[in-house]
Amino acid sequence: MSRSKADLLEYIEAQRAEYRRTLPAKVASFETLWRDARQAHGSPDPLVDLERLAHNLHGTAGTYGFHDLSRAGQALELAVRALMDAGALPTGEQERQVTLALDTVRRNLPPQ
Amino acid sequence: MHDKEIYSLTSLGDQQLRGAMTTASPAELELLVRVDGILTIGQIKAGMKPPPPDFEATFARLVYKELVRVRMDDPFADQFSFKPTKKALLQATAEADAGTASLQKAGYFVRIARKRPLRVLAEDKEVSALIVEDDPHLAKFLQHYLTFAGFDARTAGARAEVVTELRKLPVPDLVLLDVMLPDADGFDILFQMRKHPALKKVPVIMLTGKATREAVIKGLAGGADGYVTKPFEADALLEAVRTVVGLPDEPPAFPPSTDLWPEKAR
Repeated sequence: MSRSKADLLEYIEAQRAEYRRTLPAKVASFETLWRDARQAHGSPDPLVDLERLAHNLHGTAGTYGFHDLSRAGQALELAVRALMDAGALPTGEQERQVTLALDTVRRNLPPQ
Repeated sequence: MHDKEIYSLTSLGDQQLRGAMTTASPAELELLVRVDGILTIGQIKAGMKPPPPDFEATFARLVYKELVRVRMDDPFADQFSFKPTKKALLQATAEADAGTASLQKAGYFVRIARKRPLRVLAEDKEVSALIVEDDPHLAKFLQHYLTFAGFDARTAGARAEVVTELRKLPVPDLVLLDVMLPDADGFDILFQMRKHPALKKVPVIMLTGKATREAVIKGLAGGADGYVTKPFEADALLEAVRTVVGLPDEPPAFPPSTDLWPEKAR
């Protein structure tokens, strides 16, 4: 492998390690958004942000090789989307799905 | 071809959807992504609301090009050889609806890239790329990877940055476009670009986690040259980039057997 390719691999690995370090804070921000959404009785703003951040987690975590976390992020994105599609009258089951998906994200955080 | 027939993709058709290079027209691609070996022609038409006027001619071309073939085995033939009770029929309908909803939500992996004519670059000329991506980690990763591959890559993460970057001259040779941005929709950016005289021919690859059929169709019908779903493999993306920009093939940065993340294999 040429030096430049070794450099690229080293850079990518460093990026991956940096991304891994940011993950607990990301999940904490998910939990804050979910708490805000529940306190605001389904206000769309925190849910919009939560959907987008879960969507980013799905794409970026998977690209960095954290596949279980990526799938958990996708499940969270879909659960939030279902809640938003329900509009002003989400069911308790839909709220439970978001909480469950968030738990799954937390459980699949890679070790630090 | 009649409305009750079921078609599935051939390996050639599958390559058109998932290979690095796509030669099918947008209308053909729109049908290819709908052919799944389960829906009948009539159901595909019904899902298009309304079907295009040249549906039959386009579908016939897919058959002629051997991108689709009629299924000899109807997977549901046995199911309808008896008369189900009303209750069973209701239950099956509910299950089918749920299955369709699940399919629409779960999406599928796509890597489509329409080939542009080969371009010859001057020795000191770099191909410029604008990466529209709101996740800073992914944007940085893509910028570094494309720079390594010889591109002059810059990034934009929100609407104002995208507008600023697209106003700079010369226009980029390529745009990698995420869909879900904090204050903008990537599809809207694509449609605006395709209406703009200076930007309408800039190759665009949608790079997004939006992987439902509807999203893929929206991107391709809206004028995207490629559609790559996240998560993605960097070398596969680079191959698609080179294809839509019109650069000759190059060996991947790493041998195909190289697993960048061996401890987390799929």
